[in-house]
Amino acid sequence: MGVSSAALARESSARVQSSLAGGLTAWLCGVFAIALAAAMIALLARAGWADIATETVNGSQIIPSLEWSLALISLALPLAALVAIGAAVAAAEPALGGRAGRLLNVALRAGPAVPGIVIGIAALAIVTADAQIANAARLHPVLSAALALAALNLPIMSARLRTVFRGVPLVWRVAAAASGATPGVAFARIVMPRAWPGIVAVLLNTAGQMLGETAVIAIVLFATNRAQPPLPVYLWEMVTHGAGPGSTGPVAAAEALVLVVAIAALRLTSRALLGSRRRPQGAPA
Amino acid sequence: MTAEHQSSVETKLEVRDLHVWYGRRHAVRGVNFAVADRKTVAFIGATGSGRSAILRALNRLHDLDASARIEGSVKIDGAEVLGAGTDVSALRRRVGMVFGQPATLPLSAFENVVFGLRAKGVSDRAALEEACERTLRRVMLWESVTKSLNLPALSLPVDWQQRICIARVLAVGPEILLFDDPAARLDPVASQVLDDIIFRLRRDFTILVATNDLHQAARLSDLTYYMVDGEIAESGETLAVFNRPTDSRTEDFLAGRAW
Repeated sequence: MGVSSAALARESSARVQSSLAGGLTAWLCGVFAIALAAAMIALLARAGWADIATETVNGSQIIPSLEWSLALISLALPLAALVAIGAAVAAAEPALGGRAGRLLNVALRAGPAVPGIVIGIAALAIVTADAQIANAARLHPVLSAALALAALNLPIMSARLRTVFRGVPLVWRVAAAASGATPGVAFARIVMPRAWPGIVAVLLNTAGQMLGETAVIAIVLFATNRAQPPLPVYLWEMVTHGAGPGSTGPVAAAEALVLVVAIAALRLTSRALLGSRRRPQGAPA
Repeated sequence: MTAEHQSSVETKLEVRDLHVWYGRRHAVRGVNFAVADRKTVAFIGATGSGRSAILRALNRLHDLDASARIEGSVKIDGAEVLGAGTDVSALRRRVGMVFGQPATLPLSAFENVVFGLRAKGVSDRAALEEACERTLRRVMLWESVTKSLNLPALSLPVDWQQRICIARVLAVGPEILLFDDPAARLDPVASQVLDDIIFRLRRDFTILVATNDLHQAARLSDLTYYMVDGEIAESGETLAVFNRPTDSRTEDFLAGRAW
């Protein structure tokens, strides 16, 4: 049975309209994103870095706060990375993970569905349930915050790393095994070199997440402690106590943007790394 | 169904009551056969008839697939290989496999050829270079690929890649070669060259070929097994199976008739 030319024309017209609408939406979103970035840069430039750096809120300054944030992450990230890479390898490489890997796969499918903050608070609850541990946590707020941050980010980090390992084509593992390579040799010589940029990208992404989205844990741990607060707590105090005396509006607003810029820098670096992880010419999907 | 075709030559490979499951799918159903040393066997049959599943059982590639399960016995030179005590890496060096899609590794052509040797622990450069040249000559590629040895193998033509994969298998000194539809991705000319290579290898190795190409099966093999739904429906000397099939399903398959 033939299709009428009118029906074909209608279908073609609908397709054109749909693609025009999609293109226009994407274009408007792009313009908005560029305008937002330009506004942020303008605001930071107008405030001036010298003013931002010397602003004092409740006895704290932004640069030491940023440094503390980075120190916190430099403790939490290796802890989380160690466990997450191990879990991801076991889950993504059946030949290495065995039955434990299969169980981990189930956990990693379910894990990211649980909000990170829930896991973080659970970690905190475990820490504070024991009086001795709670006391130690108060004495070592940076270490305990780092542990909580690591626990908070583990599920999503492991799941992302598993995706990175699974991105290496299965046919290469099979080819390596068929050539007599042990699972360990196949992993070290074929999988790991191709997964490495992806691993670094995931670590940078997680660092960005730790820097920004995990403020609640930091606030809980630092609220009762007058050590130098990390950046999210500094910003929280600026919101709750107000900017320092004599602070101008642009300086206060620009301080809030520092966190956004720091996270954006980490995300952009990870994107660049993922972009460099090009599939070799002719490689299978 | 049993297919016994042992000649006076010693039996290299013996398969008894082999079953393979992929999840709930029973891909191979109690297959029995034996192959004498330096004989070539072709497995023909429709897609999904269990040809590849049999080959993968022989070098335990099913171990890499969590959904696969094997029962039965596979003996090479009289020694069981499906048992827990088998050194699987050593087994895969003895029983090399070439796939339909060239299983080219993301390494240079040279590193592809010597990958198995390096995995075995060979690091002497001279030994690796000697093995590379020797095996590439056996697959009739040495002269063509000499200047491209350091290029990524994945950037080379598909037929070269397939020959590099065969060279990689040969480099580790196998005794049995498994070809799983090796010409699936090749054009007719490249396919003919591949047939020539396999034909020359017949003198030195026991070869099992699973193929959709009936001409390839007829030209290369001493014995042919026709598979239907995971069972060997007919088996025998290749000439006999092709010229005087006893099973009507074999006759229909060879004539290209659906049944």
